[in-house]
Amino acid sequence: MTHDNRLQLLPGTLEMLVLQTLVFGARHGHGIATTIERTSDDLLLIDHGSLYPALQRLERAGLISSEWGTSDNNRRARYYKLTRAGRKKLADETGKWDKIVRAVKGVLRAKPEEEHA
Amino acid sequence: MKWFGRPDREYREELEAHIQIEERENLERGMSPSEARQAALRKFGNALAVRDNLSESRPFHFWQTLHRDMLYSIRVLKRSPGLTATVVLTLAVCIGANAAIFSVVNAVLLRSLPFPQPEQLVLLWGTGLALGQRSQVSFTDMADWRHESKSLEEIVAFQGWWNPTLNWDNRPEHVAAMQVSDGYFRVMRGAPLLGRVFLPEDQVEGHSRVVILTYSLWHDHFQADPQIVGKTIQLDSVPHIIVGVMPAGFHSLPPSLLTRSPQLYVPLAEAYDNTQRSFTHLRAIGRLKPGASPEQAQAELSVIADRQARANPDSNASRGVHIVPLQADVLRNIRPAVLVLQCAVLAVLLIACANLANLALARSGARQKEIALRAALGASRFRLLGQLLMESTLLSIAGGTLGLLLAYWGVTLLRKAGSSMLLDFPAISIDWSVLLATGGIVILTSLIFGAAPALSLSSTSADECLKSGTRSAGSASRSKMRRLLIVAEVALSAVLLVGSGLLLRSFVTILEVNPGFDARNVFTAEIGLPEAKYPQRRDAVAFFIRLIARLKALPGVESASAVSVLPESGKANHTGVRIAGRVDPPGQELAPDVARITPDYFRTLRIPLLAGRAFTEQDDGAHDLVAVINQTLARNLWPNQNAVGQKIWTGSGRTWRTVVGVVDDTYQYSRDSPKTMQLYVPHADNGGASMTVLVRTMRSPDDIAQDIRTAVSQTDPEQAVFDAATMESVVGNTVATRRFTLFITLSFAAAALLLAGIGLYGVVAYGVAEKTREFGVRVALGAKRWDVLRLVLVEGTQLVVVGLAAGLIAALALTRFLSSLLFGVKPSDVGTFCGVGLLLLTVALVASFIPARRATRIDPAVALRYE
Repeated sequence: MTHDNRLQLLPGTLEMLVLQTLVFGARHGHGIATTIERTSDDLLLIDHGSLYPALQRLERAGLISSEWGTSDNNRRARYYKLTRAGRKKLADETGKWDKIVRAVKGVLRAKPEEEHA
Repeated sequence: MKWFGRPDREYREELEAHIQIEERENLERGMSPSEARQAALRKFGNALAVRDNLSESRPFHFWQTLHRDMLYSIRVLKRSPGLTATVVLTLAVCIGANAAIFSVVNAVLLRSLPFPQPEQLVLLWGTGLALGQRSQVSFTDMADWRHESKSLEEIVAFQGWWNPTLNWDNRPEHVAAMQVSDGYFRVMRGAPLLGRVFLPEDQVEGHSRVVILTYSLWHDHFQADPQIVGKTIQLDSVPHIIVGVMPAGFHSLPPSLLTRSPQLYVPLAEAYDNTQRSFTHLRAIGRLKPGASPEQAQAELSVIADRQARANPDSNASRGVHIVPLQADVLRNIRPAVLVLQCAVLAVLLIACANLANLALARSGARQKEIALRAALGASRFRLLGQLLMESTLLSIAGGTLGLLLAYWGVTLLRKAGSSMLLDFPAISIDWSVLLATGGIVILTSLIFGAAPALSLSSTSADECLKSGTRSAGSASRSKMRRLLIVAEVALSAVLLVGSGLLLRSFVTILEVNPGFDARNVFTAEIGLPEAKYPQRRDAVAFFIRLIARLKALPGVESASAVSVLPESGKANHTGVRIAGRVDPPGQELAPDVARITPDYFRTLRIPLLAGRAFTEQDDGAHDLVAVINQTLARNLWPNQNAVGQKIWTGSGRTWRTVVGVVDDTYQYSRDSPKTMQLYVPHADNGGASMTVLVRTMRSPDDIAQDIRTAVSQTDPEQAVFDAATMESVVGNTVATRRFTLFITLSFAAAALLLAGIGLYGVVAYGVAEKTREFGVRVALGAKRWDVLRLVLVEGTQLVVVGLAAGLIAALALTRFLSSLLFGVKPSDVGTFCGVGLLLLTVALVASFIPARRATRIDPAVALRYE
């Protein structure tokens, strides 16, 4: 596992990924980070340190909520879960993201156009 | 520290949990424990940095921020050391003065007297003398009150004017004795350190004489001899047995109630003129029973006094009793003065704060870019406000600390300068409550002068500021605030100036009062002959005749004489008088001050003789008994008649006397008290063991004092003089409180004027600097120098006129609180108000003129490029 072939996240996408991760149930910070890494086949690099400010922003925006719970190995951890607003936001963001990806792909694969005089 | 969101602690816990989970997974991957931890930390990144990122929004790192702000502030303040020093010094002086004056307020008004349950202690004064002044009480009346009163647990009599010669180891020395009736130590809740307190039988005449020593006398004079009880000492050549020693913590009554602080206590012998109700020569103090109020006691004792008056119409008709709590009695004269001083010094502090706020505003203008830059880099408004407040707080704390040092010195100065006024409060010091109050003042100060720039900041936005180039944004609101501050400063100064002006006028008026005598070049010394050695009236008379003859023979002595009570000494003896053809209702007889004098008294003090003659050596009682009266008494007794040759009956000797002369009035108490009626009788026919000798001479006081001592010991080697002083200093004492109050308020007013002047100068100068370009344009367009000058002067003067108007109106409302300190001048004295107005306007013109002149010299070519 070297860092060379891993990708830095585009700005603003971390929040979306966090929301997506939480769709299947509440998770703690470490779980969110590892889930993102695993589901991206370890291609996406999560800076664990920056995860927490992101969680804060999301919580303050009312998109997720949190409470203390116990982790698999009986450790106290803070669990985050989606709120109704978070679910809606995720849907919006996913839609937006798909559009962007499609648009960017379109541009990248476009054949050279003829110039119209 | 929870400000918004979750507390910092929870975040740390959450992050730590994250790292531990990772660590555990690493262990499962087969890493060694330390490797696992290191890898987890590495993966997490810098945990501290994460926390700092989080802190930007919420877990408020209060102390850390504070620390950083402080370091930054210190750097900022270090960058301009001159300015910082000026601010700190100004604050130090103002806070120091506040602390010093507050230590007086604290000692005088806040701290209670050093006795157990001092609020229960009350003084009982006699009332009903024709003069309207409160009088002392007789032993018999006091004893009645004591037996009949239900609301007072104990009443005792005391007097504090006996200063016997203590002879111990053949070293004669004057000591101050307090004569007390036996319950005194019960009233004052004093238990002896050694021996016992007085018993009722100690008062009985013929019983062996006993004495109780104070701790200081025992310690200093008797080397703290533990075996002292039972030993015998000589007081005025009479043996007294020491029965007790009081502990150091037993405080004497305030010295103003006695003549001086007592060094020993002797019982008030019952036989001491104590059977006559008319002999009112004692003071009385009592202790209220728990729960009884002074008003209850007053009501009860008034009833008793009425009964006494009906039972003894000769002596007690229309005589009453007036109960005054001890604390109130002691504060009676100085409370207003002390409050005025505290207000004055607070006003000076406020003015200084206004000046510093102005300075800070000017600086915040100059620092606009720095602040805008910090804001742009992400400093929150809260942080910026904190930063500005931090600077003012640091300055205030530095000023306050230095100020406290100054206050220590100031308190010493106050104690010395105000010794006559603060006689009863020896314990003026900087204690914890003064420290606490000073701490409060420091906080107040930093808020006041830190708030101004902070407020102006809130009306400025960062981007606006960075964009606006050189012309600083928010300057309009800042200069508005600066103007407001100047107006407030001028108003406060005006109030202070009016107050001190009124005090000054009062003082001058008093100095201009004709005292009726000439105190210059007169030296005085008191002599008290012991009764044991001079039992007969004629012995004392002979002593003083011989002494006066010796004094007159001294080289350079113009005249010498003696008097029982000096004018303007604040003391007086009274006697009832009657004349033929005039019947006063009982108890309302005229009671003039009476003084026994030797023949040359009027000549020595240069009291003008208005009619008749003065006394001669022949007025010795062998022939006709004679008297001399003052003009006020003559007018009262024989209006529109010649007083000389009339007969007058005097209560003190119970004899008729012929008035042989009328002299000009003098003041018995002080020049600001009403004139009193005065009656003089010859010492030769009346006797008197305690006299003050007066010597008129051009010689130096020290020189003549030595000669007087020699003359006294030549007359009787066992006698000593005390209270040797120039007559001018005796007179000076009566105005000392005024002089003290005046001196301090005048210095405060001067400081206020100076600060207001500097503040105004600062504002006008800053205004000129800000408008350099405008003036340049005006001059370029043809404005004359005079126009520019007028423009600036008008601006400065406008501020002062507004402030002055506000200040004078406030003064008009406030000066009536001064009225008890004023003499011969109304609180609304037009002259003083006009004078203050003129003074402040002059200062305003001068303060604006300097920058105005600079404005006229602006070269338009330079000014247009100026920024």
